[in-house]
Amino acid sequence: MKYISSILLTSALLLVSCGSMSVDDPNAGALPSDFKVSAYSTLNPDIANYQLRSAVADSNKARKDSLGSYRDTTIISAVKSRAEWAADSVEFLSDSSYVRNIFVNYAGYKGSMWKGVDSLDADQMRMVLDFNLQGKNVAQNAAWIASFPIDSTLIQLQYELYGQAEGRPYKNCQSGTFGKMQDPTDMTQVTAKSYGQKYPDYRPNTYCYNTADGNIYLNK
Amino acid sequence: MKQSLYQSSYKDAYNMVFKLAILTSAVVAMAAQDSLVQKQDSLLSKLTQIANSNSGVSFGGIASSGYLGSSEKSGPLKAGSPTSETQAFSEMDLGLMARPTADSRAIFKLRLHQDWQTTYAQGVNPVLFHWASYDGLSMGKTLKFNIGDMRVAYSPLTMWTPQVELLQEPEFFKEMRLKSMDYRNLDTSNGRLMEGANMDYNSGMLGFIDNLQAQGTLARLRNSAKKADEVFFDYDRADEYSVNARVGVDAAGGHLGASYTSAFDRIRSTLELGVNDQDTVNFNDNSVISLQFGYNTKSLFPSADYVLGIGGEYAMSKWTNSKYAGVLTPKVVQTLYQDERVAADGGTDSTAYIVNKATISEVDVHHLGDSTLNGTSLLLNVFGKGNVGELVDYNVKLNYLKSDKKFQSDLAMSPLFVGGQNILNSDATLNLQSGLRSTSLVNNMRSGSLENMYYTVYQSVPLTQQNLFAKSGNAVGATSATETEYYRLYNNYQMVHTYRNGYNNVVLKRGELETLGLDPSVSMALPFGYATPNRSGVDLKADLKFIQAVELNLRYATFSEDSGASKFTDVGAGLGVNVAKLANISSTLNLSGSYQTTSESNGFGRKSTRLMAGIEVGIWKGLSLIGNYQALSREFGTMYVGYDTLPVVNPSTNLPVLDPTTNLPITTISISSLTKTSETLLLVGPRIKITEGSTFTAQYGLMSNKINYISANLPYEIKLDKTLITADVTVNF
Repeated sequence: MKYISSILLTSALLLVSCGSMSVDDPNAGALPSDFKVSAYSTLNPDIANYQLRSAVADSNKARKDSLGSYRDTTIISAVKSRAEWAADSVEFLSDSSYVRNIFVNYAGYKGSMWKGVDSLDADQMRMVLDFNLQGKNVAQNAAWIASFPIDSTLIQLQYELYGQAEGRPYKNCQSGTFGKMQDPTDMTQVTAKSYGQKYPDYRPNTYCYNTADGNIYLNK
Repeated sequence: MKQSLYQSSYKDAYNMVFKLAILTSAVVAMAAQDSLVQKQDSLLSKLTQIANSNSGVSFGGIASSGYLGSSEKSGPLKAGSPTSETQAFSEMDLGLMARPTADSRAIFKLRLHQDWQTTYAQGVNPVLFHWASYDGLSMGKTLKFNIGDMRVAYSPLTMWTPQVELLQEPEFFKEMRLKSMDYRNLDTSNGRLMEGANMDYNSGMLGFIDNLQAQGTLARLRNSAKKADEVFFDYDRADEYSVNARVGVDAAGGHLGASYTSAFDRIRSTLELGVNDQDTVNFNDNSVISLQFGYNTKSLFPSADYVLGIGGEYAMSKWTNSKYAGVLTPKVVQTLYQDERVAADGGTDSTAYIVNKATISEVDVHHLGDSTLNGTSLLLNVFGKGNVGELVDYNVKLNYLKSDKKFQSDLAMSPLFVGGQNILNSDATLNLQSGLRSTSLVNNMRSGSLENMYYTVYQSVPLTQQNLFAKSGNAVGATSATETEYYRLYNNYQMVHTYRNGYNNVVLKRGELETLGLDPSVSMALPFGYATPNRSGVDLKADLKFIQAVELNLRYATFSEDSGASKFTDVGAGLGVNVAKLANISSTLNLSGSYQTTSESNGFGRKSTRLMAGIEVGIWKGLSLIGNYQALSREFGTMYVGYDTLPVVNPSTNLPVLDPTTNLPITTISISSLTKTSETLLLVGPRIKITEGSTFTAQYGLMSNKINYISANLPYEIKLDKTLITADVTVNF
């Protein structure tokens, strides 16, 4: 998994986010009055799934570390380790229906994009394998994923700190309560500072998801 | 007129100075009962009347220049090993005294020491500031107070410093011992050296009550290191305090008293400094409650030439050990990741996520539990003292002690003489039988008990990497010149004072006392004074003085451990004769001698015998000749026996011999042991009184230390002989 950046949030920062917020950002953290974390999580499944991806990555890293000289191709144990690692991935990919389940429900692809395991491109393969727990067979993998405890406070925190800025919808649109469709080129929707930037900041606007057309609209 | 003025001011100055010279002991006199101290105190009070009747500032002290050359004459020295050590120095103990009122004084003591060998070595030599106190009387002289450094004694089972008792110790020995002790701010009183505040209220006569006493003492005994630079030196990081109080009432010749003493570690302040992973920290909390009584016949027969009395103390102690440990505990931290996700079009884009990461482990301190020991101790005594006309002065005291194994009284137990240090010629390398354990055992004994008792090596040397430990976390010996923390070593203009001797001035804890490995030649029966746990028995002390010229001291003690594990017997006798007085001649001729032996049956079976003799002859005017001799032998019994299982080696093939049936190496038991040391020390020399308050002393010394040890079942003997030449000029000013 490629981490572009990672920042430790100190408890102090968390306090700030839950409380009065930082001085230069008066709107951040003010949750909409009708915000429900369950609805937000349903509309943005990647957030909960990322907790899974992260836990799988931790587990796989620990296993890789325990294999010791994994990279050393001149040692038989290392070669065996590499073979074991590859065999685990092959076993995972051989269960087509399970991989499809991961592909659609966890990696976040549309069902229509599924063309079978053999047709996965490099990105898709990587995304799917991000959910493969090394050292476990498919049944164990499925059980582990099913029993994984999702931390909803982290999901709410994600909205407070980043989700709202990213313009993520937090509810389904109800007729008459939404306005324009989300548009990063609309100067009335993004902040002047972030206009034209790679990551436009939609705050203080909030958005809803319109199930009718699958688009995101500005809440009135 | 002018002349007499000068004389009187000189006399005043000298009086003040002399008082300062004995100041060390004088401060204690408030709390201690030692006879020497009492004598000094009465002398002090006379001097104080003359010189101290008004407020002001004065200073005084002792300046000396001297030489101590010690050379190893014989012994199994390795080739090329240095054999001689020279200390030549000038030293000044400077006391500054400020008296804001006639009844109180602030005292500051400084030490300046310059080694002649290192005079040109490097720049600035620091002045050591080793004593600060404010002492005096208040509230119509009913309240004595000490603030700062102080020595305070309550009773032998609560707050006390047990002294080493050496009968008829000749003059040179005694001076050297006191000098060594003085380097650690110790003296011959029973006061416990502490820093804090002491308040002692004595009402004086109140109706039928002779005296009502209330005393409180607060002290800090140890302090945890707060600066990283000091961490290495603080093996024990405890932040230890002491809170103490006592009350007493005297009436009609009787005394009733109660004391409470405590020594405890502050747990939180120490834990704040952090505990390393896997590290276990023990905190102690020791408190003692004691009841005392006493009665003597002085008020019943005020004109009698004898006093009979009884006294006693019953103490209950509680000692709690709290164990804490550092445990590596994973911490979950909410962590931000900017990572890719599958976008609506099936490609990937980047978004922000927050997940719990158990990536950081921190050391959590866990309280593993407490253990408590409750113990009691009972000390009773009967005494009689007085005189039979001019003929005999006598002072006889019988003590009975019964203390149980669990008794613990930190403030009363810590001994001042520990020994076991390498003092002189420590850079000489011995060529010892390389037998497993015995090498280190013998090395620990190479400076014998006498050397530990009487000699101090005091040096001021340039600060180097070896005696400066820089920032924590950097190993000493790292030699990279670019390390900034070592930068100061390349540009330092400082000297450090280092010294070593066999004395201890720290209040030790139970664990430390148990592992102290005390020199058995010094009070094996009661190593921690009357507060020694696990003893029952009696001792008898009789001091007689005939026609003010012949002193006779007799000692007998028998103490045994619980369930008969060890039994200790001390026997001693000392004789001091002022021949000049007996023969009625005006010159000086003193002879003294003593014999003391202490033995242990069962247990380790140790034995120690000490013989001392001294002569002082006045030759002419201020010149006298002094000769001191001491012989000490220590047998260690089974104390230092170690066993090792070794394979039997065939001498021709150098291979292990195998058992023909099992085909395993045949083994043999190898015994290593330190069995005995025999030491002698002879000091001879003249003493010349140059002027009032200044003396010149020269000593020629021969020290011999014979060590018998066993290595791999074979006995060995080494003999280390040293020649010691000392010369010094001392000026009291």
